Amino acid sequence: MLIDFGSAVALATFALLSFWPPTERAHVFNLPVGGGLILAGFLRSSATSVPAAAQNHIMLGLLVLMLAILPSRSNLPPRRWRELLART
Amino acid sequence: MAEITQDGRVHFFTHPKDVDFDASPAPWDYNPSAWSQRVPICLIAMVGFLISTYLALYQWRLVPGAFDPVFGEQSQQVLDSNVSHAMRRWLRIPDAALGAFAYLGDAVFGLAGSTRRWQYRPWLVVLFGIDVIPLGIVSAILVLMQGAVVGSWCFLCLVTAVISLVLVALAYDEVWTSLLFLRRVWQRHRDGRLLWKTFCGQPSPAAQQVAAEMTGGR
Repeated sequence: MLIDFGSAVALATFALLSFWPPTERAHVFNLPVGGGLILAGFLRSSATSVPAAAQNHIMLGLLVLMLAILPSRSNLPPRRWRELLART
Repeated sequence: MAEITQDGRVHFFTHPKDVDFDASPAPWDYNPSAWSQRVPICLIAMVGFLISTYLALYQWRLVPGAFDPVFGEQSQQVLDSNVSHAMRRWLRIPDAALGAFAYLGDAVFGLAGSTRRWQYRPWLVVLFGIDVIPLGIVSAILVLMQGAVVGSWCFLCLVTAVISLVLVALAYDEVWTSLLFLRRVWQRHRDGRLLWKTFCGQPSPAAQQVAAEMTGGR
């Protein structure tokens, strides 16, 4: 329960912060959140017994890892390229 | 539209106008990062995702059986095989669920980035390539080996193997372009730090020059 709530708060916070230009890379902080969810899933299971909640944590963790590495406004060139192109 | 912040930085919310985002980089006569190239990859990957998800639902016993119009009950023998159970003990989740995740990754990484991402975000293209090419080939080989190892065949698994190989064929040109771009940057300056910066999507005159040469100045 604590893992779920804490992860949700962290995910929402970092995701929202990544929309704000000064903290546009805050989404990267969701990588440890995703890693933590996977770790929690493994720690709460064994080779012979894997509760549904543990599998849910692992799947969610993988999904978070995948999405956390995507940059904000990824349809545009990175900010430094945009700055360079604006000057040239 | 652009916004100039207090520290003098410029933030574009549309594409910079002076850059041709549809330019064709050498050696191609088309842009491998164009939406017309990437959207089909994402659509095919989503078909793989849906099939794999269905197979994972069977392995989770959330659906009663696995549909197979060709091999009948053999599909369920494959999905419930000792190999599959061994992988599940190791991964903690069904192997089909991991496959579904990989296909979803293909689609997500295929959609992210501009139509010139081979230059601006090589890391993203390489990550996309790792997800599609080596993982796709390995998964296809594993699926094709099922007849020899398990002694049964699974039709939908074979369909996903074909999808993996089709994705490899469709995706390799963009990955090759990014690798070629990075290789030319390296050959020009032999500077590992510059190569890493270029890989990470940081600009430099060298990267700009190489990209301009590859696109014929566009």
